[in-house]
Amino acid sequence: MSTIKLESADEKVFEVERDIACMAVTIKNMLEDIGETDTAIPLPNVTSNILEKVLEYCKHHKEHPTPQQDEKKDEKRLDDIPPWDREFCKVDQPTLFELILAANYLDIKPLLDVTCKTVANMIRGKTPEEIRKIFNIKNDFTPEEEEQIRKENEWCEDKGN
Amino acid sequence: MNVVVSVIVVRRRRTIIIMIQNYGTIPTNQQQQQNNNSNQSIPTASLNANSITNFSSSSSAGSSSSSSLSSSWNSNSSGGSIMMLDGNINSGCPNPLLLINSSNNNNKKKLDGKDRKKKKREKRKKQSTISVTIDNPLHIGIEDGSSFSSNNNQQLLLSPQQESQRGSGSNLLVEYSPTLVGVQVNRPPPSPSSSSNNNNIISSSSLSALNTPSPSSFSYRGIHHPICPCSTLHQQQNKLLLLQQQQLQQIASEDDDFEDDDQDEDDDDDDLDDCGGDIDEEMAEDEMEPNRYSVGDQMDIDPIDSWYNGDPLVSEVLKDERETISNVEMRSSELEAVERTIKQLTETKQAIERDIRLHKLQLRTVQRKKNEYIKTIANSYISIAIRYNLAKNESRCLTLILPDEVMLHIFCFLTPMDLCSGVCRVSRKWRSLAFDISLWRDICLQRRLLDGSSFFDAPPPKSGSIGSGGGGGNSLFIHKKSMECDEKASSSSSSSNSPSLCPSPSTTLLSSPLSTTTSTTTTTTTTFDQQSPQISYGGSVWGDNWYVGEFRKDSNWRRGKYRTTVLRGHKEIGNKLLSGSTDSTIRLWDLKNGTHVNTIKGQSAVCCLKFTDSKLITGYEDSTIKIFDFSY
Repeated sequence: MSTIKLESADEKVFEVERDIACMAVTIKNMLEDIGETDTAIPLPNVTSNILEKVLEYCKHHKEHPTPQQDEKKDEKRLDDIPPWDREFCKVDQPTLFELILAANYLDIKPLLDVTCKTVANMIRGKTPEEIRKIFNIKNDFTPEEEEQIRKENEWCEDKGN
Repeated sequence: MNVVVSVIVVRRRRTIIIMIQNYGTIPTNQQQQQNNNSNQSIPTASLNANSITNFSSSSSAGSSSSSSLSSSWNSNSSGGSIMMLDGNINSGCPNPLLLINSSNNNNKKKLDGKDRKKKKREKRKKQSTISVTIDNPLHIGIEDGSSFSSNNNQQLLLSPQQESQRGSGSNLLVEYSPTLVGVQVNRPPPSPSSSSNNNNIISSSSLSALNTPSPSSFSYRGIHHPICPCSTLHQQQNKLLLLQQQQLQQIASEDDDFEDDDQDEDDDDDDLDDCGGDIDEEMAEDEMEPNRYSVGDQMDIDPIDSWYNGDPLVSEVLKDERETISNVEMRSSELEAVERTIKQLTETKQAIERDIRLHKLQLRTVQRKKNEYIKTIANSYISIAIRYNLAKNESRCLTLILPDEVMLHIFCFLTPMDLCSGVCRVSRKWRSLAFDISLWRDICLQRRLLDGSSFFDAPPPKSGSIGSGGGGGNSLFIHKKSMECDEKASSSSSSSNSPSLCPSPSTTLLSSPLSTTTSTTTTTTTTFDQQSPQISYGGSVWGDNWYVGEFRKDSNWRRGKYRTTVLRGHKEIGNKLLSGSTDSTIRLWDLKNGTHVNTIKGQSAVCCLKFTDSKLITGYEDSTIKIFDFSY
């Protein structure tokens, strides 16, 4: 099993199995482009601690492949996060958001999905004020705008089908 | 080995000292003889200086180790009563027993013809029954007798029977003796004069004198410590040892007139005995009598005491006493329960305190952990802010570092309701993302709003002319005689427009006869306020996002949510209503009473119709127009 080297933004080199690294589509494409190489692949957008987590995720899912569900494109579910992934995503917000960015950058779809679902779960069912508090978002609406938006969306206040 | 058993009892101010002396564990005949001979010379009972009562003692020892030693004291008291002390001492036995049995000689006394008080006095002066059982005198003997030890005390027992033995004054002596007996064991044979012994005896037993001033106090003790009087002695011994000598002297110096015994009563430790001191002698006697009766019923009743039985006053007091006793028992058992509870509570308290300490420790650990976390997270925030060039006031807003497509990816996991009620109201950026066209297109695709399979048959979006198609799939039309009035009204009213009439839920109402009861002068229209996004929502929150309008329409239909606008003011326009439907029928209704008048069958689904007084013109889906002429 051949290994490749990945270099994080803070210039730490990780040696990982090729298969695991290729779960990241970006790396896979890169390897296909440059062929066999001994030089470390630089990942300037990913710090070492995040890369470590990402590799942990990849390793786990290489060893425990999740049964391929029928990829129904219109099925967007929030409650289908596997237990290990849920534990994996129990991190502080900076780590979580950096994971999302790394997954987006490295193009690891399952990781992106699971992290985005985690964030979506934080948003779900919350009032605007609660969401602002969670993500430290500043409310930049004027009171008039706010009132207008509230009115325009009254129709969905009543929970229905 | 020489054994001296000294019993000192003080009844009121009279101190009676009984001293039993036994020489030799295995006395030889000679020794026995000596003992016999020394009956006169060795006082086995002595009294204090003021005592009216004198004892002379006689003792006879058994001839062998198993023989019994019997001693008798002859009282030289004025009453001439004789106190017998019969003892069995198995001095060779490991568990020898000394029995002192006596019978109350006073029983035989004639008591008639004298008043109570006098009798009592006599009784006191006379010596009466003493019954003492001393267990393990050998142990007493074996103990080095020069000092008094508590072990000895414990081995000197008085059986409960004897405690409760009733009798006149002298019985009290016996009753007190278990707690009050002092035992003196002397290795050297005491001198006949035994004046030096006297001191020892007195010092070891003087507490008995102090603690036994009145019978009633005894009765209290008899109830509460009947089983192990020795333990009482044991407890009291240590406390009072130092005071003994002094107290005895005090007693000895006091007047022997037992009428002024207030001082003694006051000195009494027992709380119950507070009645004897302040009342007169007779009353005190009355109090004493019931005590004796109550203590033990199994014993023979002294005729003197039984003499009082008939006395109503006595029986009254008897009753009171019983009540008091039961009260005392009850309260003391309550006290025990309370003490138990206190103990339990104390244990619980300690356990809780331990718990609190533990939890505080835990709290400190947790807080330390928390601080570490906060520090780490703060550092990560700072590093992220630096890396992604976030402004200082936005350094903690991590959603800013996510590209829009990632945000949309997050939003796609949310429901449309979440997007419309929560997300779009968070901030401007979130609002624009929440109504992203691609996002809502996906939502509409998920709900099959666009492929024609929805029950609400929405047409495919056509740019610019979407609004007019809102009700295109609707198969039910209303036609009113004066359609133009709607147009007129809508121009003067809010946002409703003519196409909005088409999918109105009120059409379903109108198809039922009941709904036609609405006045003919009233036009009822129902509009979906966002039905035509192009018209109503130019510049609205979701801008030109037609998909949001579609979703909203679908959602409103499904939930039965609608808004109605009623326009009134027209004149009577007639009673006829004609409706055409996709079931190829045209129905004629009477608006006056809301009844169905007639049905005209057609060949195809009705698209439109118009009628005048005499003509009805209908258009069909099969591209035909029919003209019905009713004036032929």
